[in-house]
Amino acid sequence: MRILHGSEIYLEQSGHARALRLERLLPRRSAGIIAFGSGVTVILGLILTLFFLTEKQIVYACLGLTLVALGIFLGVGVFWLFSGFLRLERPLSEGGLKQALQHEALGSSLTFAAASLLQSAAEGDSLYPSRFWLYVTKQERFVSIWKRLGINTGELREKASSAYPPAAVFSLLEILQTAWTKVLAAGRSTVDDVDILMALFTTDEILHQILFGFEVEEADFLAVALWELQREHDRTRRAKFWSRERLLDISGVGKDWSAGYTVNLDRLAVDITAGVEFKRPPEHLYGHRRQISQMERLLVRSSGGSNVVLVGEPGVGRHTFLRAFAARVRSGETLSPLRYRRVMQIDSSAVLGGTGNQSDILQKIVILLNEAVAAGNVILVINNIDAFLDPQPEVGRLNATEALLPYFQSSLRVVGITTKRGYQETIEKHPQLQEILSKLEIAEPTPAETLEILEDETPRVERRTGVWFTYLALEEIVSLSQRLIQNIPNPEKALELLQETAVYTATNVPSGVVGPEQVQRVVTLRTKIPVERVQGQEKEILLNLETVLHERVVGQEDAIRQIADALRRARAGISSGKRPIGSFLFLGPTGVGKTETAKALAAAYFGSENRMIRLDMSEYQGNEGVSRLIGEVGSGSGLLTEAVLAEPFSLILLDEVEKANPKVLDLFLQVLDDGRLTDAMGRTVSFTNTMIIATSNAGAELIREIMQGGRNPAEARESILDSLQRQGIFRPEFINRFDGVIIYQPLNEAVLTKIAGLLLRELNVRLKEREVSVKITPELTDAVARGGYSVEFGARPLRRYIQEHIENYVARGLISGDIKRGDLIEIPPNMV
Amino acid sequence: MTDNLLLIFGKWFFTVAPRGILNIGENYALWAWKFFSVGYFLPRIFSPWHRDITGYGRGFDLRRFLRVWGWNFFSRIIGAILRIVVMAAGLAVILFFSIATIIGFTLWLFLPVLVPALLVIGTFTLFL
Repeated sequence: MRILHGSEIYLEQSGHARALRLERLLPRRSAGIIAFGSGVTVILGLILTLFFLTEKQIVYACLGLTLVALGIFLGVGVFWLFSGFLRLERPLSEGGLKQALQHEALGSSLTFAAASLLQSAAEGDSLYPSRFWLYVTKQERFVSIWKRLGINTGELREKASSAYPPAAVFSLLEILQTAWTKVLAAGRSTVDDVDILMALFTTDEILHQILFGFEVEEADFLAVALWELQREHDRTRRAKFWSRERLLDISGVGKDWSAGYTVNLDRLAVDITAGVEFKRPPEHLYGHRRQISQMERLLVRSSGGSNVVLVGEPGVGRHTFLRAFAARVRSGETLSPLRYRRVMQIDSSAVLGGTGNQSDILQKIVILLNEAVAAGNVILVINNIDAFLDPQPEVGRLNATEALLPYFQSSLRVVGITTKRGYQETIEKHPQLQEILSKLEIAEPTPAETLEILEDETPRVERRTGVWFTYLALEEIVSLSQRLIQNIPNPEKALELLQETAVYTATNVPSGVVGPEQVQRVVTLRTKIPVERVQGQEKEILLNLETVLHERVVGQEDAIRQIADALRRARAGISSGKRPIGSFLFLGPTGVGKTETAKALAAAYFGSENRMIRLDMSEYQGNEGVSRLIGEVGSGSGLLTEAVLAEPFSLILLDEVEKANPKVLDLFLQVLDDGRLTDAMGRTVSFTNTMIIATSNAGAELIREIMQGGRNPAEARESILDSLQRQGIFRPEFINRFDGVIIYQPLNEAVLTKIAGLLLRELNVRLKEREVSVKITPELTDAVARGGYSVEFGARPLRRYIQEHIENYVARGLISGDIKRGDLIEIPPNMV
Repeated sequence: MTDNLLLIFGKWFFTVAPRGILNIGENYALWAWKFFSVGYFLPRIFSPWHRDITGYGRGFDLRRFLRVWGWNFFSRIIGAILRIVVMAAGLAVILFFSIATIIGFTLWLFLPVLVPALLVIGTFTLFL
């Protein structure tokens, strides 16, 4: 008897050793040849049997039958060998598992694939890296996983072969122990081939480094492996056409023969049950499966009306949810009173549109509802149900509550669809409606659920467009859509981005492989937000942000440096991600460059001055300030929240913040701390891609006094802030929320002269079209600086001063003809 | 966890596979039961065709009563005829699947005997 060692013992324990040997003898690809031979034998046998039976030669007919039987037997052999019977997982019972753990029978939990890996890569007590990498870069399942991770298998093999020292080996015992521990922790009882690779993530630092080089983390590999296994499982399940699940997924004939005719509904409504027969709803209803059961229960309850209203924002999957429900109703996999009914949807636009007056519309609705009741097999879905129940109807809406109530209380089952706002404004205001229409909230899927939805959708998109998505691209879609597209919920925005990226890649990328870069490009094109990696021009801007800002803002080095530092942190990806990109309180007198800094920043970093949401806080002094900013139930949306939803990547400038109502400042405490705000409609608005700059003149006098005392106001910041707190202008918790409180200094003569020069150069740019220019001399700039400066308004009057004294002079000259094309206009300082 | 291939095959051939054949047969029979709505029609066999019934109206008029009753009865008869036809077709298909399953099941169990026996009989008949 041969004594077994190491891996051989594990293989024997797995029960797959013989099957592995058999597969070596008869490779899986020979199955096709044998199956073909078997089929030919059966057909030949049948022909011979029939032929000899007609010739009444029973003996030869028997021979034909023998051939048929032989063919079947051959076929059975193939089926047995290759259908996976030998490969089937043999999960251990609880007792068996305990026993295996006690005896350290680590091989007993191995799947066929894991045993196959061990057979190829292990010998004795060791697993050989070279053989291991050869296996995992050639085996079909792993090749799919690497491809999804965007890794070229050839390159991976090459890197792996050079990464290990020649004598390197892994301890098989350690790997299997780690794999088993991980599997048990995940609540499973079998160790698959991917679990062995996962174990190596823990035990082998070199493997970690190799994959890290391809930007692949352990979690990514696990996620892709689980995705691949799920797809394999789905494929196998779908291939079993004889399974009960597949065969009974039908409605059958005559299920509506006992129901009444629905002539009008057929014309005005959409039969969702008929639709799902041709276009199946997604198989995995992440997060919604339990809610479907809940809806079914609500629809069959006997007291208080069997109606449900689905509340959720458009795009969260309300209609997909309904289609999944309709599929269950169609195939009878639901509660008995709902089986084989027709789920028919009417749209408010179809009913309310094209009809003149209210009584006509009401008549139309009543006809439809009567028909649905009379038919006896209709579950009526009313899309935008709030449009029929509006107590204060506008154009395209109606208050048909009284007409609809009897139907809601009848045997008819109604499913309404509405938004949170629609629910709040209609049903929630009517206690009786609230009672008979059970509310079922369809929540927005979490980012993790959205990723799973994308995993389901990706193969379909790939088939349509011929592109290939890497897993990192899907992660990027979820991440960027979550951060940068706020006015559409998940999964809609992620699915839209998936489609757009597929189309973009199909037309612009010859390889057809979609990575995170393509997703970033599409997001940039769509939102105009520079999400692509720090490169080229943007890299230059970030590195030289101080210089870029100083092109517009003269002086104020401290402020500019702090802002530039915050931006670099955010763009390099090391900011917290849960707060705004940066938040600053600019303190200083009027006209020293606070607002100009904000404008320069919006232009330099956010791409345009238009990306600035400017709020004059003196307009928010009253108690209604909060509702103006975040909206109020029943009276519309908020100015701030709507603006950020539309432009999530922007600079928010809060001018003269000290004038705002204290409640408004409390609102900003949350924004500065959490980076989000919930508006009156219950929508959470993220501020994580905004920069918040608040400006204030408070403390200007003190700053001036400090300057006059010969001290630097920036160094006396603490005493300025103390003074503001003592005066009750700002509370300490408000000031402390900012990333930086920047003290703007009053401008000195040198700075003013520079600003004057800057403004004069701006003027020359405008004059370029007329092909004339003003000669900028030190004397001129000095004169403009002296004339345009005001103690109260700083440099602000400079622009007007130039307009009055220089632009007017040039304009007069141009009109009178004294100034001609090509002239260099010299303005004597005494004229200014 | 036996490693005897022949034993594994034997177990599969005589326990797992026959159970599989019966299951598949049952699945197809259930499919026919559902597709032809046999169970669904049974409690509704005399339901009016598409709820097509006429009201008797106010008061009593024998002629009108008989006419309406006749129409309603006719509606039920039409429904019943169609349902019975479909149910009969369904039962026929179920019967077919049941017989096919029994044949397949029997054939399967006897296959290891049948194949050599037929081979032997054939050879003897032809050459001896």
